[in-house]
Amino acid sequence: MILFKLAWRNLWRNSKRSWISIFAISTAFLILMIMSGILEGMSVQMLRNGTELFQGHIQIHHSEYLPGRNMYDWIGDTEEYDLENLLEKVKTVDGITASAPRVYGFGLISTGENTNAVNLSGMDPSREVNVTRLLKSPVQGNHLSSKPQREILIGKTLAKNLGSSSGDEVAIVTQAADGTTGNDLYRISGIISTGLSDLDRTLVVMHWRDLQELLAMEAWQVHEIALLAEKPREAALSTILVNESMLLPPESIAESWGDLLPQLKEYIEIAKSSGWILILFVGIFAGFGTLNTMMMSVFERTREIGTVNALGMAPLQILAMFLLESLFLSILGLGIGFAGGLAIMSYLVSNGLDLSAWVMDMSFAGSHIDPVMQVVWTWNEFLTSALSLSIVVLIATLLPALRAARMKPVDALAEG
Amino acid sequence: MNNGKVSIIFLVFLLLFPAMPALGQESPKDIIDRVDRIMRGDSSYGVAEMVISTKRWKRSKTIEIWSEGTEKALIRLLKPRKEEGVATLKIENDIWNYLPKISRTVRIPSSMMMASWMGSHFTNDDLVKESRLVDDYTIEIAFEGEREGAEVWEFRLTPDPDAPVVWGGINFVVRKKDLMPVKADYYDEDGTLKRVVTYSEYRNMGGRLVPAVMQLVPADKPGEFTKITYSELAFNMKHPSDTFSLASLRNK
Repeated sequence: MILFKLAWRNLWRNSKRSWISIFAISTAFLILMIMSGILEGMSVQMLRNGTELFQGHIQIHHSEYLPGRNMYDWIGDTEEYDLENLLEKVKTVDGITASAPRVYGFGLISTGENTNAVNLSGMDPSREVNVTRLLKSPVQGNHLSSKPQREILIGKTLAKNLGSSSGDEVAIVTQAADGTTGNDLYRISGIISTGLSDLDRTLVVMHWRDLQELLAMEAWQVHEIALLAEKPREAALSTILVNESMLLPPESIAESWGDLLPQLKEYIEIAKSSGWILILFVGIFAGFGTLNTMMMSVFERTREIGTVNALGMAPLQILAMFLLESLFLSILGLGIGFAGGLAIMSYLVSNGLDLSAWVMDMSFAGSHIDPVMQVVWTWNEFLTSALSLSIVVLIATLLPALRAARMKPVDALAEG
Repeated sequence: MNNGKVSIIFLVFLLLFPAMPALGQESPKDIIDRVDRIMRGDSSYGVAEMVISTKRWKRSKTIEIWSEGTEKALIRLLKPRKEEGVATLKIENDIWNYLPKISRTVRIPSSMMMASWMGSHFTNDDLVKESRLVDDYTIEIAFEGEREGAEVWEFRLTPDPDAPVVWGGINFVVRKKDLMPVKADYYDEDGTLKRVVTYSEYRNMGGRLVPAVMQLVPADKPGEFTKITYSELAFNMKHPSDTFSLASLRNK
C-alpha cells in the first residue's frame, strides 16, 4: 500500500515532468486511433466502390454459371422453384438486408445505322436500388420504371457509339433459349454514366421481365441473385449462412465479393497492409517519444533511487514502485488520449474527413473517389494501440529503473 | 562410300517426287478445286431443312438459299412460323440479318463473326469465309486408299501463313470415283479437333451428283449437331440482278 502512495506522490512531485509524459502517451494514442479509423474507412470505401455499383456483396448463381456465363445455367437448373419465396426468405438470413434478381444475356443493339455487341442486364428496378447503386447512377433522361414496358438504359459511351439519345427506338437481337432469334424494339429511357469505362461501353439494362421475354425464359429463371450484406466486411460469414440455410435450390451456390472479386480483395489487403506499415512507423515514432520522456524522468532520479536504496528499500520494491508509476502514467495518458480520440473520431465518423479543399475530384481505376474520406470506428485497433503503448511505457520505465536499482547506492549517489 | 551412293539415289528420288502426284492426272489442289465447284456451281438455288439439336432443345428450320459465286448469298427462313421471313444476306465480308417481327435490318459487326448463325452450330464466319479452300490453304495428300469400302483421298489442308481463316488445319476426305466429299475434320491452331462435318446421301440434284445431307458435329459439345438436308437444288441459273440487295432481303 505504501508503494502505491509513494508511486502516486512521485508522479506529482514533479508534475511538469509527468504531464509531459502523459501528453506524449495521449498524443500517440490519439494519432493511432484516428489513423486506424481513416485506414479502415478507406478500405471500406474501396470495398463499397468495388461492390456496390454493380456487383452486390454476395451473389447466388448456378454452380456452373461462372465463369462461362452459359445462358442455360440459370439458378435452379431444370427444376422450377419458388423464386419470389427465395428472394424474400434469403433476407431473413443473419446479416442479409436486401436481395435482387438478375437475368443476363448477350446480343446486338442496332439503330439501323449502327450496330454494337452488348451485355444485356435484366434487373428489377424496385429491388435493385436496395442492393446496388447502378440504377441510382447519374442518368440523362429517365431511369427505368418499375414495370416492364420495353424501356432500356444504355451506357454513355455506347450511346455515343450508336449515335442515339434518350427517347430513341432501337432493335435488340439475341439468341433466345428456345433456339430462335429473339428480337424486339426498345425505347431508350435514359443514358447512364457509371464512371466505369467498360460498363459505359457495353451496358444495356432493361426490366428483368422484358429480358426474360426476349430470351424466351420462364419467369422463375434468373441467372443471379445479388444480396446486400449489413456489414460488407463480414459478407463471407453471411455467405456461409446463406449456403447452409437450405433455401437455395440444388446446384446453386452463394459467393461473397471476396470470392467473386479476388483482385479487389487482394487490392484492399495490400492497401491495408501498407497502411499498417505506416501506422507501425507512427507507433514506433510515438513510442520513442514516450520512451525518451520516461527514460529522462527516471534517469533524473538516479540519485534519489540511490538514497531510498541506502535507506533500506529492496531493489524489488524500487522496481515495483516504478512499475506502479508507469501504470498510473499509462492509465492517465491513455484515458486522456481516448477521451480526445473519442471526441475527434465521433466528429470524423459522422462527417468524414473532407479533403475537397485540397484535392480535385479524383477517379482511380475507373471508379470515382469521393474527396470526403470515410472514417469508421475500429475498436480492436484501439485496444491493440493501447496495449502496445502501455508496453512501451513499461519498458521505458523499467529499463532505467532496473539499472538504478542494481547500482550500488554509493555509485548512484555519486552520479547525481 | 556405299552410303553415299544410296543418298544420291535418294536425293534424285526426292527431287523427282514433287512431280509424282501427276500420276498421269491432277494435283491435290485441282481435285479440291473441282470438289468445291461441284458443291457450289456458278450460281445456285436450294431448299433445305436444317435440324439443330442441342442439349436443351431440338429445332427444325426450313431454309431457302440463293447464291452467286462465293461472294453473294441470300438465305431465308420459311419455317418455323415464329421465324418465318427471317433472312440473312451475305455480300463478300458483310452480313445483314433481317427481322420481320420488328422489320429491321441489322448488320452483324465483326466482333460477332464467331457467334452462332440462326441458332445453329454454324457461325456467321462460316458464311463469310465460304471462300474457296484452294485460295487459303496449302493442300497435300495425307492418305490414299480404301476406307469404309470406298477408295478415297484424305487431304491435309494447312492455312497459308497470312490467310484470313480461323482454322489451324482441315482434314478433308474425298471419294475417288466421283469426287464426292465424305468428311471434313476441322482443327484449331493448337491442333485440337473442333468439329466434324460429314456428307452423305449422294443424289442427283440440279443435274449433278451432290451430297444431299451435310451434318456438323461440334467436338466440344457431345450429342449436339446441325444437319442440313437439301430437298431441292438447282445450279447455274441467272438470278435477277437485285437478288442480293438489302431491298430484296426485306421484301422477297
